Amino acid sequence: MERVWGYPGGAIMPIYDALLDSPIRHFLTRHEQGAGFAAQGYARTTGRPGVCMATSGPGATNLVTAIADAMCDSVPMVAITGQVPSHALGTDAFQETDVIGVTLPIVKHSWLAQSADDIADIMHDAFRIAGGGRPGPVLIDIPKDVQLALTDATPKPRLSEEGVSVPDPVEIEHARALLAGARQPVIYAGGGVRIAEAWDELRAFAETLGAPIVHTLHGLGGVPGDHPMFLGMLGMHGNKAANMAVQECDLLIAIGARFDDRVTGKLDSFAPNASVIHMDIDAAEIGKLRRPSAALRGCIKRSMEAVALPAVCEAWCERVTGWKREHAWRYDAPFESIYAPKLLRDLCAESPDNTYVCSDVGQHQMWVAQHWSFNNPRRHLSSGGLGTMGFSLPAALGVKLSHPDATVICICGDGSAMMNIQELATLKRYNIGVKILLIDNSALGMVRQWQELFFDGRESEIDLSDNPDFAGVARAFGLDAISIERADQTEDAIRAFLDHDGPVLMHARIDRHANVWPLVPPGKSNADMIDQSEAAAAAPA
Amino acid sequence: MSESQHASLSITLTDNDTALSRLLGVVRRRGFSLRALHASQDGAGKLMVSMAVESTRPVELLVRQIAKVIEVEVVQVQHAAPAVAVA
Repeated sequence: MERVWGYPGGAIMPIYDALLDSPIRHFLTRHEQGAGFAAQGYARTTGRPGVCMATSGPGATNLVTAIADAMCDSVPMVAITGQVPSHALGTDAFQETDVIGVTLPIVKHSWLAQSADDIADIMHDAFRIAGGGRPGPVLIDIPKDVQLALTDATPKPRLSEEGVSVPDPVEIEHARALLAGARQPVIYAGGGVRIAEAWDELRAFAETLGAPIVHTLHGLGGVPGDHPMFLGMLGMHGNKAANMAVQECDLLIAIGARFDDRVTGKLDSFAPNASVIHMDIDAAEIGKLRRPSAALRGCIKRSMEAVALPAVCEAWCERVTGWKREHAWRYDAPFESIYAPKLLRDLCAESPDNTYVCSDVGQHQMWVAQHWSFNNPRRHLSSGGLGTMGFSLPAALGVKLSHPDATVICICGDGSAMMNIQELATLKRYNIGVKILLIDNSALGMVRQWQELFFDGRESEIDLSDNPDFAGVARAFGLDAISIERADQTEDAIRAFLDHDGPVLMHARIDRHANVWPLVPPGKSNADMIDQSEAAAAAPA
Repeated sequence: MSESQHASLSITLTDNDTALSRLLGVVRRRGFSLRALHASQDGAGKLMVSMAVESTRPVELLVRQIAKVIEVEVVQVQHAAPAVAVA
């Protein structure tokens, strides 16, 4: 462990005192949630557990959202919390909270350290469990007296670590038979490809099969965005061609994906004609929502290598490629105002290959997923399962501190920017050269869109027209800032943004009424996906 | 609506202060109702648990989630049957 993000307090002071004599580099955020997401930024881009620390009580509870987020997206994280002294546990002491109890449902495992002699073993097990199998967060709660105690204990000898789990040979043969008989296969690859570092294997698998590929939000970049058989993201705001291919396929090969409801829409109408091959490290995901015809539990690298064989699907690929051309994104909006999809596409085109994009949650998140072409799944960070607003800025600072030579772009909306805006101070403190693109529509845009489409246009608590001057806020924190509101300003602004040395914020105003298209209405099948013209035609006169 | 199923499970766990809480939390949040519970320590660091659960969901889903709890060493379905309404 080289670096930790955290915030001190009474119950964790002994640890903070010991930090002064430690080679571990600590980064102070301005909110414990920022520390948790910064640790995620490290973990999501390296595959190694990120570490965050907080004191007891409110410090610990402020970590909860980032821990839950890590659980939902399978991010390896070790959260360390101070706790009141052992003799005070259960007495409602000052800043005492049962953080073990609070986090039971949202961690892979947790420990209350009861003796300093146990710390070495706990730390060893914590990092092993956080990073092993399907990764996730763990929590270590350490009472103050335990922090102060002396010990020379070292980790107990362990049996050798478990080897890579390989799928059942019978299921492999069954999968190969399914593939041999399929004429309309689709590869559906998710975040498990990034977690397993299996993008090379996925690309080889895709080349061997010659089948179309769709990605989940977290799978984007598994194959490069410009791969000829990549149809785009599937699901609620996916590309039409991607959803059409899945609805028409006769074999769906799910790789490191979990049939999430944002992907499937109405579950019993998802891929209605398809047999399913499901490859995943987590046995509990296989059959949880869709019963597969072949269940390959284990390492997805081994599964892909074992199953790969050329598919007989030339006519299918021609048909699907036609859909891809027909439903390609268009960027010819005629207006003077900034069109966010084009802004993102242009920024992507100008950004260097070593760019990481940390997206927040909302309309801009979907536009990033649709219009940014990722060449590796580790280059795209987004809160998917929990969908936590405020994720992007602290995650981005964690990424930049972990990859100082990379370009790191945080893309957020005006709503999400305010959720962890205090971390602008952290950018300034450590001169962290994150580039922030703030897309401002003066509203909680995704909620406004849903109210427009599904609540008869009745807007409730989405108006953010009283936002502060975000460029002024950035300057107040000591950052530089750029402001644009017309399409003809974007080219120069993008150049200035990317060339800027040090942290910078670009504030881009867009039309308040801009919507994300296409969209699968809630509770509907992906076959019922609508675009802007269909929504307008369906609207009451 | 799917038919409700009863199932009896036996589970062996490494015993510590949190193991039973962790196990019961999984039962609840995966959509299963606890109908009976017995837990006892074997004196050798193990906690032996038997429980009866009810749900419209297949018990295999619960078993796979219980198997992911770090303290769980063995989980077995002893009996599974449709629930019968008592007049």
